[in-house]
Amino acid sequence: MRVELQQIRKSYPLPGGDGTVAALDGVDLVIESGTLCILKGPSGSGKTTLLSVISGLSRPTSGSVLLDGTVVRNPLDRQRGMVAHGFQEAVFIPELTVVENLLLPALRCGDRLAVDRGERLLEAFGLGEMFDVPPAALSGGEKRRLNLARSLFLPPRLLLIDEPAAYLDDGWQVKAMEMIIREVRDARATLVMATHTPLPGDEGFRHILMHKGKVIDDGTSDY
Amino acid sequence: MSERFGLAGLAVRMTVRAPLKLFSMGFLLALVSFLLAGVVLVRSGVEEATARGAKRLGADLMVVPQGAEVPLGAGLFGGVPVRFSLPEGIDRRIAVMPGVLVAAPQYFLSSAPASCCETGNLLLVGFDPSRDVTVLPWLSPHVRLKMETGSILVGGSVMKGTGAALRFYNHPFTVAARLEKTGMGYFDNAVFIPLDGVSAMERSSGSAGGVSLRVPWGRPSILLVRLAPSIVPRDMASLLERRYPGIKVLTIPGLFRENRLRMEKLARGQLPLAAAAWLFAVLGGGALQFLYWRERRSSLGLLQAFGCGKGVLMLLFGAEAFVLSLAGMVAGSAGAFFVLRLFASYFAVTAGMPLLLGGLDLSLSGLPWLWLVFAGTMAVEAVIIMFLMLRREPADLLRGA
Repeated sequence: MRVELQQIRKSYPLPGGDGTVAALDGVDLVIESGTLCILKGPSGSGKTTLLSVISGLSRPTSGSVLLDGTVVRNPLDRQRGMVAHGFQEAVFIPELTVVENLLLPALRCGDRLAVDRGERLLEAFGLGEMFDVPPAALSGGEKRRLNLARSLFLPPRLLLIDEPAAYLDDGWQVKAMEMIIREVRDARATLVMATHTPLPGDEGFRHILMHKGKVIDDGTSDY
Repeated sequence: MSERFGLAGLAVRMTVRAPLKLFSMGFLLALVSFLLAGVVLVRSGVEEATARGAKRLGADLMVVPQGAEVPLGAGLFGGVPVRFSLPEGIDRRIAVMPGVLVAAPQYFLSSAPASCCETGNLLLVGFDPSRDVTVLPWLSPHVRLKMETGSILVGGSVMKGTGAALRFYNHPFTVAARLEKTGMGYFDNAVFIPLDGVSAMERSSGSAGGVSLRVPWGRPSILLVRLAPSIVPRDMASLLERRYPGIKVLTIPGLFRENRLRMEKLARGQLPLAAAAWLFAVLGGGALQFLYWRERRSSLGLLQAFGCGKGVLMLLFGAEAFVLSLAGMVAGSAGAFFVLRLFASYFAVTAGMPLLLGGLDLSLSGLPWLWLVFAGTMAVEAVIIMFLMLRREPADLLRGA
């Protein structure tokens, strides 16, 4: 899936109502279909906001998001278009079990995906014994892995992942990256991944560096 | 592993696995419903019992000793054993007055308290089968009182079936039939003994060290008077009171007048009470729902992120609030019914009012509109709360902001 951002601005009101702060400040970006892309930059540089704007979780103050050349307006449109988002926060519905939380992306798609895909994913992310436990019973690392597994549940055409390595130990960082890249390549999808730490296995990726809501560098060189 | 679930399945899971939400919402509405249904059920129960009791008495007038109105109420409505007597020979004098069709005397006695092997603390009513207008006309045709076997009739709350043996004052009796429940203690908690049996019981009393019984023959406790259709009961009551000092003559509607006035007061208070309960439910239910969804706003963000539109979420959780509230209301109403049924006799004695509840379905049949109003309100409230929550962007909700 091709992603095109045109003059994206996103500002938030400051506490107390005294003006606004710009999280994204006129971002122009084109990511061609099938590109593996890493958003880098310090905390507060706008990486998470940019992913949220692409996925539709956040509406830009101005500018347009085009997916495959079409302007999309809400998250539902993006779901139908097979956009998956691995959130920065490992957020789950506490009343649902691990496997039910994993199945959430299929909720509105009416997709007849076999449950065995869910089972395979949970096994692959080391959560094979955790099918029917509530997410509260998982450790921080297990929650992150479930969050990643959920983002891969529907074969995506565009996968947006925010800080995939956070709370993962070194072994799982490598393993998770390998699985993400394999899934993306198998689906011939586009990957946009935000991180401010170097990831193992990200050589050859397109690297986009952000700072204060702007893209300040863009290339394939290693940062 | 669960196979697959849709939005409804999701809502059900999110509800049944959130016991605090389930309990607090259900309990709140059940409490409100308990109070409201209690009032409605008491009102209908008293009206039903009053209507049935008045009909069953089968008379136009009740003659009692002057000043006996208070104990009469306890006896009639609560079935509490009471004793008082009319002036000597009053029944014979009234019976021969023009316009009087029947004057049926009844003697109120109490069973011997704490005597061995007898049933204690019952209102025993001695009646004359040849002049009775209260009990026998309502019996099914196949019930026969066989005086030689000491036949008696027991009220609907006396736990003795047909053919059961009972002893009062050392005299054995056999239950000929149990009367249908009326909600009035006089009918439900009493034992009706033909005067022959009362006489035999008096003779047996005192033997074997038992308690003696002295019946004030010729001075019955009450006189039930049936008049010719052309006679106005109130006029006859005034005439009798003027002619025979020391008696109080009550028309049957007059006997229940105080109940009727109290029920009218209750009816007037019903609407303000319902309004207050509604306001309580709105504020309490609103606060509960708001607090719950404020805690769960990341779940809402997540559902939106996975493609649930705002309208779908409002509909889904509005419906959830409706079902939860409806269940709470039904449970509360059923609870009020069972509590009232359990304590109906206690209520009749302490409040001095008869109470007759129908079956569960019949008693609750007037309440669905109440349930729908409250559950509908909760659903609208949930939709409004959801609307306010969903004004935030999904990204903000996900962060719990």
